[in-house]
Amino acid sequence: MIARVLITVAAGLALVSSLSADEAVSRGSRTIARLAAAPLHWKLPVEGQDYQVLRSKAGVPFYCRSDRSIPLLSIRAVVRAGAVFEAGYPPQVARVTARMLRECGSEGMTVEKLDSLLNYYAGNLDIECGPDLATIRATIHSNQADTLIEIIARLLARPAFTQERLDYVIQRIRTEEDTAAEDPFYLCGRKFQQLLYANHPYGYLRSADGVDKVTLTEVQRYFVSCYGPTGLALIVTGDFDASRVLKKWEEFYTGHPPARELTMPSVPERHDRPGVFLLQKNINQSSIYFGCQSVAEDLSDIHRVHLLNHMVGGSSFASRFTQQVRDREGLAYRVDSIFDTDVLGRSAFVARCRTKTDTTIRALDAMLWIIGLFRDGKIGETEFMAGVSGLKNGFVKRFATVEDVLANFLMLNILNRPCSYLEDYQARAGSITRTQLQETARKYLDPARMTFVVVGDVREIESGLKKFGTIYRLNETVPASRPERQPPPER
Amino acid sequence: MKRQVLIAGLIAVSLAMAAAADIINIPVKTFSLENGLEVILVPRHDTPIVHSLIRYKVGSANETNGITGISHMLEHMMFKGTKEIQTLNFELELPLMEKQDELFNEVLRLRRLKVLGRAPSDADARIEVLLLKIKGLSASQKLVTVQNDLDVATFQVGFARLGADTSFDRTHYMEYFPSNCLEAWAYFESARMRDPFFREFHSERDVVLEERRQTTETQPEAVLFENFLAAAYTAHPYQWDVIGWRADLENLTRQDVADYHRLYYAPNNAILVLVGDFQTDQAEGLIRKYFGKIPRQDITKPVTLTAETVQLGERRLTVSQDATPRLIIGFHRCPVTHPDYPVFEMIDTLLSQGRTSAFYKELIRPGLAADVRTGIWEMKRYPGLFTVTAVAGDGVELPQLEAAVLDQLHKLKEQPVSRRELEESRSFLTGRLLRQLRDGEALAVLLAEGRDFFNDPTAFNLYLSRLQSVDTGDIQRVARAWFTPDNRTVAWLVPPAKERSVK
Repeated sequence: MIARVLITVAAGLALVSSLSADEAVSRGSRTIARLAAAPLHWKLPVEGQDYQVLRSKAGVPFYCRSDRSIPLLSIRAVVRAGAVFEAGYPPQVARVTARMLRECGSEGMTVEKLDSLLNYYAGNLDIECGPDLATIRATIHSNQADTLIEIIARLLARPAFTQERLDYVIQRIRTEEDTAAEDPFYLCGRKFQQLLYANHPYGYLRSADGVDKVTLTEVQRYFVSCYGPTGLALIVTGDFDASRVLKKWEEFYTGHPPARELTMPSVPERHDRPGVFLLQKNINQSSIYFGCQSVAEDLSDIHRVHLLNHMVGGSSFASRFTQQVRDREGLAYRVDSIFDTDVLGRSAFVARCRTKTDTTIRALDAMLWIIGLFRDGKIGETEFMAGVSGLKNGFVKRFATVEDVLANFLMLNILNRPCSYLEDYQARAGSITRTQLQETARKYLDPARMTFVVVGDVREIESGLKKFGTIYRLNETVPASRPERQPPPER
Repeated sequence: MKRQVLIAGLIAVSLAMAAAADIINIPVKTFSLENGLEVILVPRHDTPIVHSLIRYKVGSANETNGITGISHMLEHMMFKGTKEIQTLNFELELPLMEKQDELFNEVLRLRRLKVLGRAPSDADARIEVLLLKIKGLSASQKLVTVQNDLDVATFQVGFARLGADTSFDRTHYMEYFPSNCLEAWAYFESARMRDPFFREFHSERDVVLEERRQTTETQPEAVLFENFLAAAYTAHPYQWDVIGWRADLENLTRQDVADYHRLYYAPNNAILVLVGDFQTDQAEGLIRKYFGKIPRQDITKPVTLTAETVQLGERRLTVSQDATPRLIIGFHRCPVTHPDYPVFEMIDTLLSQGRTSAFYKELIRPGLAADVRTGIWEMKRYPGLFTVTAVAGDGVELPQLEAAVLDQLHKLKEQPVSRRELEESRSFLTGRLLRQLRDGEALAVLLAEGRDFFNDPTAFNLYLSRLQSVDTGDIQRVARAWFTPDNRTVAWLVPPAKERSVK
């Protein structure tokens, strides 16, 4: 009893201090601000001056910038072929197709030959499939630039898909997902995605659900549909000659899938799945995910969403989540939030944390309390201005490498945004008001709509979790995307 | 036809590439301050960003039993500010912190009595109350602290997240920031080297314990690795993982951490690297201005003299965890300064890099293993480990998997690798180095590591030259010398239900 009183007093003091000291500024902080006050002499890179955009005969854009300091050529090929384009195909076909590209080699170059060449020429090649995009990343010694262009052009034009490799890829995906799910945090994220997005492709990204049903015919069909020149763009950096790269590309990028009118995926209807979903594991720490679907509806909204997420949990140690949950209360090593607006489907606000079993409810209370502060407009002027300054002054970090510079402009194209999005970013960030921040929090962070998932030793804390919503128990072995159609029984 | 041309050019290109790699000239400026701080500057102006790295030559290998994990704990405490940063008035904080220390010393006294069997019957309750009192005092102290001040202040002016990383041999503090923030960086990095203020010690210990739960205690393979290390070493401090033992973390004091800082975080035990968009003269001036006044220290224990005992036979252990069965097989190996170190890296590549590697072809493709990884780890200053971690494929038992792994190691001893395989391995490692040289942060690490281990920031040239000289005989010689049963430790992870039958 005494202990509980003392805990309450201590927690109360922590909350009081969190309200009072947030507006305080230390001498050291003022010194840092003063010493960094000189303006940064930097301008947004300009096409034609700082980088080039060339186009192949088939219309594939090449974003190029040379840098001869190290004898390396890097290529990043971005393809609109992520899971979000899977409508009309079996689930997981996007992921399987990307993996098949890496596992199969191309007509005239087996994967063993390809790997041997890459190793021999100090190269590497990785292909990954995300929610929206498939990405090929490759480097090679610059004196073998032609080889890398040949490898990538052949792969993207005429891959040599086989049933034997498909069987292998499917088995690998199953095994990798099984192993990954041994991490309770990964498992928690998987369950959260499945609940949040139901049968939308975003829902089964972190699982092997449905992968067995992908056939070679579907992989070939998906490749032809998505990997043509229409949805493809390349970033080329390093020690190279742009015109030579393009010439080599034309030489080997033949017989590729046809150019088509690009069909963008439709954004699904918003889907809410409020409730507290629990998965029992006999471990001493809870993994927590909670959040809800959202979408940034216009460009001015995007800047406010970025600021909101930065201040809530996105900017890591400068965010409220970390300040309160980690550093003030010592409840977690890592606590954060994600609100990715650069998506083709429907975005979501996601809050995450890991904490020992008996502080699970306290950590959730603290995170929701912070969300409440933003919704209620209880963020002080000093903290607000620090967030705005961070967003403005940190903008340049998006251009930290030459490849990043080009990726920013390529993504404008992918996301169908105007150049002014980058040109005006800092000005727009700087014009956000506290009222707008509160409106944005109210619009997107609604605890009543949120899905909570906790993986850990939930037996002891289940009753305490009821205050966050109706309790449901999850079964680890049954993919949640299936029961989504039939909601799990309420206890 | 095209393929024939490519193949015909292989050897010539490989040699050309090696030559090209050898002549890569990174424009490095180095100097030392009077207090012993070593500085390496590499200006690069392709983007308006600066990468910084401060390497302290201290890690878990400098620890002793009882204070394991202190290097990493100190890394956390370095983000708690100084007498100017993160506080409205540090003098008001001091008595509160001293009172917390006093209460915690009483906790330790009671815990020692418990171990001795002489504790009062209400010892546990008294400990609980003492810890709650510490929490209460800590909450009061927060009235004059400015929470996460350093993070907020640096984020506000454009810094990316302030980063740090503790390993077996060293601790790194890394940032990248817009180039107009160079002086702000010099101000706070020099301040926390000279005069850190370890506030929030007890709540940060809770954070570190959460990190231990997150990265070790709830991760089956990490549990296996922790137990494996403890078996592979009997004397040398590489026997515990960097995070440290839970009991040691629970009993560390603020004074322990302060003493450790004084002992190892001196300018004469640090290397500072800047890579990026700055003028060399300006950067040198700022470094001299801010870091030059920090006094050097008499570092009495810069390295551990505890050498690992000679292993006299194979060591084995089994860990029960709810996960796919897997194993770790490890062999002691030479430190990074030994000429044979690149041979281990080539063996690492030959065994597990890509679809042409031995493990991929012989273990993964046939389904014997779901995953196989080799590791050299960041144990570089002292003799470290070469490990193979293999996850069993569906229906594969660990004895079968272990035999398959050992068979591949045996082949290295008995069958010379082909010239082609050797060249692929060499080129792969060269390419990996080139990619590191291009990346600002990775370059900073390479330069600091070169200065630390070889007294030469550009020691990657020595590495390249050693790499070039490795031949097939070296692979066989090293495999025969080190991959022996007597030098081997084998750890199995077995799911609880299977444990009995395997035993």
